[in-house]
Amino acid sequence: MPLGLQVKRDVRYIAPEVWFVPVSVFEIWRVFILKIKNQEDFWAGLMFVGFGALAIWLSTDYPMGTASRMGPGYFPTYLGGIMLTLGAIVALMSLKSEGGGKITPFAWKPMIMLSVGFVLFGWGVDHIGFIPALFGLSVVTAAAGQKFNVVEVLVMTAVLIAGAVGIFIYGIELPFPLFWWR
Amino acid sequence: MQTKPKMKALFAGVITSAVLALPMTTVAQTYPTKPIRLIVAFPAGGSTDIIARLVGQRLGEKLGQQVIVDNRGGAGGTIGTEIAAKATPDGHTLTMGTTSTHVIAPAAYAKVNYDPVKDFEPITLVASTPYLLVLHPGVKANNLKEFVALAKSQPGKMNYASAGTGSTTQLAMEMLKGAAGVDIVHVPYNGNGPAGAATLGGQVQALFGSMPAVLPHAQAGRLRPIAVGTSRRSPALPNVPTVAESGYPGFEVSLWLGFFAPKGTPKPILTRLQKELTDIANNAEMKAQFEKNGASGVTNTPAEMNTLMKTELEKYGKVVKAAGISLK
Amino acid sequence: MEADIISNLALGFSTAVSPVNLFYCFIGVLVGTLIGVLPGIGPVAAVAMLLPLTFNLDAVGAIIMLSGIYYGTQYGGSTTAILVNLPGESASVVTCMDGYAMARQGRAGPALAIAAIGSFFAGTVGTILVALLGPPLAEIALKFGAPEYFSLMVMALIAAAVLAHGSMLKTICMIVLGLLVGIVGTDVNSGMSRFTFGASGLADGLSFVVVAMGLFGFAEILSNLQDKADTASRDILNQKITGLMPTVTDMKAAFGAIVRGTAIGAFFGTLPGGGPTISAFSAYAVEKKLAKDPSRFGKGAIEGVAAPESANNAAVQCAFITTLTLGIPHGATMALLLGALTIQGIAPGPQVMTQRPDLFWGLIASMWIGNAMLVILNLPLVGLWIKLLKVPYRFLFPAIMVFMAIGVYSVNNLDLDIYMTILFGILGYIFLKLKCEPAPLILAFVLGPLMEENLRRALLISRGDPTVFITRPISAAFLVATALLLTFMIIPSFRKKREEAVADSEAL
Repeated sequence: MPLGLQVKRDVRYIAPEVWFVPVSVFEIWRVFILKIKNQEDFWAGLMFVGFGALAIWLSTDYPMGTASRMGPGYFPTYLGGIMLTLGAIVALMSLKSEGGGKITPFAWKPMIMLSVGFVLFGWGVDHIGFIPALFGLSVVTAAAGQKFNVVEVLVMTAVLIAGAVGIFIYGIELPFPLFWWR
Repeated sequence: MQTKPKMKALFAGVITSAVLALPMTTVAQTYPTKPIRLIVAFPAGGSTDIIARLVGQRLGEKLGQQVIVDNRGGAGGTIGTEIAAKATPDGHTLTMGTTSTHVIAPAAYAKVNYDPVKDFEPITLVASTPYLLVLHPGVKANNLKEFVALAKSQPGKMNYASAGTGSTTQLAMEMLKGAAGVDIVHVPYNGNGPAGAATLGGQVQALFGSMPAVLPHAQAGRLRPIAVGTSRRSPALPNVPTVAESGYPGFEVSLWLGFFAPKGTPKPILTRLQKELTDIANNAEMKAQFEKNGASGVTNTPAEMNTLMKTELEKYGKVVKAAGISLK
Repeated sequence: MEADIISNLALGFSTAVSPVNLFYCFIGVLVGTLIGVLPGIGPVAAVAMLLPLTFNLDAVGAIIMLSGIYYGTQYGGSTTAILVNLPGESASVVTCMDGYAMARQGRAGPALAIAAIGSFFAGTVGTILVALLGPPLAEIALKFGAPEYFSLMVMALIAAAVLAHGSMLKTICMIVLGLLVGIVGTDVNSGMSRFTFGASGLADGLSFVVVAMGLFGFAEILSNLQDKADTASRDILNQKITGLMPTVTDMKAAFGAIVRGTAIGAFFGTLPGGGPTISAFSAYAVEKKLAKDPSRFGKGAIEGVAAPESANNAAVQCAFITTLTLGIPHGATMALLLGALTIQGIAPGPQVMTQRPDLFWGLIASMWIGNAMLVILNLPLVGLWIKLLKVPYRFLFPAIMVFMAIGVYSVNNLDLDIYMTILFGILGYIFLKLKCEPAPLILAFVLGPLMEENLRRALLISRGDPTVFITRPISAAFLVATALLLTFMIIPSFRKKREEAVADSEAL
C-alpha cells in the first residue's frame, strides 16, 4: 500500500459500516413510512405477513403429505402462504390508499398493569391461594386506572373478594384453596 | 460430588420416615382433617367425571368430609394425572385414574411426566366400561367371522371410525386387526359421539365403540353389534359373543376406572380408603347407577391393580408400536 | 300423527307443570342468569359450575332445573355481550357487534329486551318444530358426512366475511388468521401437536373462552383505559339511557329479523358442530344484505341483535334433538348437559323417546317453560342490569377483570389459560389500533378446525379423490351457494369501480 496515500482520519470520522444501516433505516422511516397515509393498513399488512411467515416456518416441522393425502403440515403451510400474500397486498395497497389514519399511541401502563394482575392471579391461585391472588389482581389492575385512591381501592378489593369467595367458593364450591395453607 | 444424590436420598428418606412415623398411629383416626380433592383429568360432564362424582359424593359421606372434584382436563388426561402425581401425599388429594391416563397415555405419548406405576399408590378399581364392535347395518356380515372374511376379501377398502388417534377405540380395533390379519383403514373422529354418528350414517363401516356411546343405537337396531371386547358377555347384550369366543382367545379390551393416591400416602389412610371405596363400588344402588352409565362396578386390591397396569402397559405398548402411533 | 303430538306435549306439560318442578325451573333460571351475567363467566363456565346443583334431584326435577340453568346462563351470556362486550360463546360474538354498539348509545335496555323477546319467540317456534318433526329432524345430521361438513364450513367462512364493515381484504386476513389460531392443538387426523410450542396445556387447542375474553374483554378494557381524563368518562356513561323497552319503531324493525332469524336457526340447528354459531351469523348476514342501509350494521342496528339471538335460540332448541337422539353434543355447553343427563341415567339415543316419554317430552315442555320464565324474570331485571353500567368505570373494570380471571381459570383450572388470555388481550388491542375486526377471526377459529378435519377426512375416505365434494348432492349444493355468495360480494364493488371509471372518463 503506497504510504503517501494514507488518509488522515478526522476525529469525527465514523466508518460507513457503522452508520449506513441505522441512517438508512431512519431515512426510510422518515421519507417513506411516515409519509404513508394509511398507517393502519400498512402495519396491519406487515403484521399479517409476519403471522403468515411464522405459520409457514412452524409448519416445516410437520409432514406435508400430498393434496390427496394431507399431512398435518399441509393446511397450515398453505394458510400461512395465503396470509403472507394477502398481508403483502394489504401493506402495498396502503401505500396508495387514502383514508385510514395514524395509529394512536399505545397505553403502555394499563397494558403492563393488567398483564401483571392476570399473571399474579394465574400463578397465585395454586401457589398463594384464591384470596391473596384475587387481592393482587384487584389492586394491580385498579392501579392501571387514572385515579388511584388507596382507601377506595382497598374497600373495592374487599368487596370483590367477599363477593367472589361467597359466590364461587361457598356458593358453587370451586376447588380453589383459599390461602397458601389451603 | 457423586455421593450427593445418595446423601440427598438418604436425608430425604430419614425425614420422610420420621414424618411418616410420627402421625402413623393417629393419622387413621383423625383422617381426613379437611376436604378431599379428587383430581379428574378430564373435563366436567365426561364419563370419567360422572363416575368420579357419583363415587366421590358417597366417599365424602362416609369419611365425613366433602370430596371436591377438581377437573384438570387436557392432553389425553396427562395434565391432571401429572398434577396428582406431584400432589402432597397426605390422603387429601386423590385421582381417578383410567386405562387412558395410566396405560395408554404412557404407552402412546412420546413423553409423559409421570410414571403410572412408580408415582402412584393404587387403591382400588371402581368400575369398568366394555367396548362393543358394531357395524353399519348395510355391511354384509352378521358376525365377527363374516366381518373378518369380508375385510380380507377387500384389503384396504373398508374404513373404521375411532374416537381419536391413540384412543382406546382405535387400539381395540388395531388389536383385532393384528390378531385377524386384516387391513381396514383408520378414520379418526373427535370423540365417541361423532364416531358413532359417522357409523350410523354409513360414512364408515365399523366402530369398536365405548359401550355407553353405542349401546343405545345397537338396541334400537341402528347399528349391528357383532362382538364385545371383554372376556365375558355383557348382561346388556347377552346374545352378542365376545371377541375371544369368536376365534381370538385372550382378546380383552375395556376401560377401567380406579382410585389412585400420590406415592407415599400413609398406609393406614390407603387401607381406610380401599375399604370405603370397595364398599361403595359394591353397593347395589351404586352398581345400578353405574349400569345406567354403561359401566359395571368392579373392585380389586392394590397389588392386583399394579399387575393389571403392568400387563396392560405391555399389551398396549405392542399395539401402539405395531400401529405406528406416536403422540407428541 | 297430530293427536300424537298433542298427547305427547300434554304428557310433557303435565310432567313439567307441577309446583315443585316449576320451582326448580325458576331456581335454575334465576341462578343461571345471576351467574351467567357476571362479566367473564360465559355459559360454559356457568353451566359447569352449576351442574352439581342438580345431581341430588330426581331425574325429572334435575332435567327441568338444568334447562332453566341452561337458558339462564345463555341469556346471562347475551347480557354481558351487550353490556360489556364479552361474548361467552361463539354465537354471542355476533350479538356483541350491534348489542354493545347500542349499549354505548344508551340503548342497552331495548337491546336486552329485544334479545329476550327474540329468544322467546324462537324458543316457542323451536319447541313446536321439535314436537312436530323431532326425530326425522335428527336424521338430517346423519346425511352429513365429511364432504358435506367441509363444504358447509367453506360457505360459512365466506359468509363470515359479510360480518365486517371495514376493508374486505383485511377481513379475509382475519379469517385466515382465525383458521391458523384454530390449528393450535392436537391434529385429529394424525395425533400430532401443532403450534403448541411444547406446552401440554395447549394440546387440546385454545379454548374459546381464552380467545374471546382476550380479544374482546381484555382488549376493550385496555382501549377504554386509554381514553384520557378520568376513566369514568367512558362514553357509555356520557349517553343518557333512553328508555328500557324497545319502541314501536324498534319492534317493527326487529320483527322481520326475529322471524327470519328463527327460520335460519331452525335450518342449521340440527347440524352437529357449529350449528348455533353458523346460524347466528348467517342470520346477521342476511339482515345486513336485506337492509336498506347496511352501513347501520355494527353501529347499533336493532336487527343486528334480534336476528342472531333468535337464530341462536332456535338452533339450540333443534340442536337439543340431535344431542339427545344421537348423543352428539353441539359444543361445550351441550356436552355438559349431556353429561348431566347421563348422570340421571338417561342414555342419549333413539330410544329415549320410547323408553322414557315422560322425560323426553317433559324436557321439551320444560325448555319452553324455561324460555317463558326467562322473559318473565328478565324483562323486569333489564332496569337493574342497566344500573350496573352507572357504576363508575374505575370500579367496573377491576371487577370485570376479576370475574374474567375466575371464568377463564375455572374452565380447565390451568394457569396457562390465564397467560394466553393476556396474549390475546394484547393482540386484540393491536387489532383495535389497526382497525382489524376480531369477530371474523373468532368465527374462523371456531369453524376452522372442523373445516380442516373434514377436508382431510373426506379425502381419506375417498382415498384421495377430490370429486367427492361435487358428486355428493348436499356438498355440491353448498359449494354452489358459496359461489353465488362470492359473486354477490364481488359484483357490487366491481360495479362501483366501473361506475367510477365511467364517471372518470366522462369527466375527462
